[in-house]
Amino acid sequence: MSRTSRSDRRRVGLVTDAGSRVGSALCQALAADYDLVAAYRSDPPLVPRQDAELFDPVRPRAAVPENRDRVFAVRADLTSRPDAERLVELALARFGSVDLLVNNAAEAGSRSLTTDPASVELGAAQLVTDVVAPVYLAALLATVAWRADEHGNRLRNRCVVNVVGAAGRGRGWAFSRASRAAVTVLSRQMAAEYRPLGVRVNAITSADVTDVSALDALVETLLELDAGHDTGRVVALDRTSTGPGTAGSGQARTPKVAT
Amino acid sequence: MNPGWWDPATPAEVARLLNHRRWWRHTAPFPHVRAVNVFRPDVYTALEQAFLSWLDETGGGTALAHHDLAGATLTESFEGPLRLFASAGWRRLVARATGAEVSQYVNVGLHHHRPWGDPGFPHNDLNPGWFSEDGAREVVLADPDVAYTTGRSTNGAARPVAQVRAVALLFYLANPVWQPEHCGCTGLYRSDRDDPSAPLDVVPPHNNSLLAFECTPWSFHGFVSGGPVPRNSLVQWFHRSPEQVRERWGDGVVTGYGGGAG
Repeated sequence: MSRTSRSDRRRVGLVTDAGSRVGSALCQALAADYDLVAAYRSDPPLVPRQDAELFDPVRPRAAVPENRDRVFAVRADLTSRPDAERLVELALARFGSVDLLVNNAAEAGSRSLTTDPASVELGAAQLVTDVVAPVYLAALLATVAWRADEHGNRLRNRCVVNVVGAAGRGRGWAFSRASRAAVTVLSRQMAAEYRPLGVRVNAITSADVTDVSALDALVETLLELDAGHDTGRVVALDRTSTGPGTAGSGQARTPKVAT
Repeated sequence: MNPGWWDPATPAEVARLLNHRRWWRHTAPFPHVRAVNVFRPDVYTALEQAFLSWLDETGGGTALAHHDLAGATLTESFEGPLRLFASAGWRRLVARATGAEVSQYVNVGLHHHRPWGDPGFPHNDLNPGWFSEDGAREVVLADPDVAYTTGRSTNGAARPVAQVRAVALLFYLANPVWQPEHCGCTGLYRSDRDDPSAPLDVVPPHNNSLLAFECTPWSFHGFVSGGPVPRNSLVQWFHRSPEQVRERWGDGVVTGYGGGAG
């Protein structure tokens, strides 16, 4: 399915953690075909945006083709409810709707559980960033936009993709593994609850994205999920996923609701 | 590389030394230009080696008033690859890149922050600078007989001329490969009352990268903080006449010293 089908308007995407390496890569991959809102916490994405453009220092007034597809960058701490609400408000004011929400939590960190109790607090904060904030952001969009536009949701094939990063085994990876497990379960639950709205929800659990080929695979998978019909699918890029609502026919399936 | 490659006369000649032709133009928190991997690897290596030679010979130069750093100002007697920054071609390219009209007067300095250097403070670099008047050359560097910050002359033959900083440029070089824990960043601020430790944006001192901006009443920047490694840079200012500054922003905008690029 074309990413610009079902409507003459370009698809509108919202990518979170856009300033990270994965976030910047996602912005670069999507900017040509999507109107993009790039949410970042501290470092903006390294792509042309409303407040930054590329230029040729030898011919500084010449047009530069890379600036044609600028993203709309918004600084927001998504663990803050006012920031999340402001982000959604700005995205809708700027583009009118959001067709693809990419909750990007692809860059995990390791924290020992026994070295310092403070690291447990940091790990808990990681759960909020990786799990709670994405669910809240999707709920905000559902509340202020999608609930009132079921027809538009189906027409535009709207989709949420939750991306969570690699989680190693052993010491230091407890919270990353917990995030990954929680996002997997929540994504399937979200798929069930968003289905009546006509919004699909899928997830990608990615491999180590310091590897360029892994990053390419993540981008490719994201685009496939957005363009397809699946919901409730969890694609594990470090192994083949066989979870409910997955693969094969491309037909939308009713995902099992986790109990 | 050809002998004298560090004296390009035009931006087109500078282009041959550049690694690529994609620099960033930002508008927030004030208009500025950034670029990484500025020069070709062989060019950067020559610049770095020249800087390290100076550092080795001098230990980093003399302490700079109001700032926890040491440095030296390049004058006409300074030779070698670092004169690239005193070339006519570089001057024209930077002026065009920042969109500023500049005069022939250029101050080029080498800066060395020792490890754990004190933080700086937000300042706009809209400061005066004095040179020995010379209308004949396209680039006129600081004159050792004319004090840059006061215009006081130790040579009766010198004719001090007052200028105002128009463009500031920091080129980072000869640093350890930067990691966030090294600190040493240049902070960009919205106001001179901003907390120096909380800039709106930071420019990390990646080797072979630069930050440049037109000096305006709002170009607030500063050295955020030192860290476990030294931070080295080449800092330069291009200038304009005081009349041009008055015409654009009125009286009272030029600030005294305490200032200096971060």
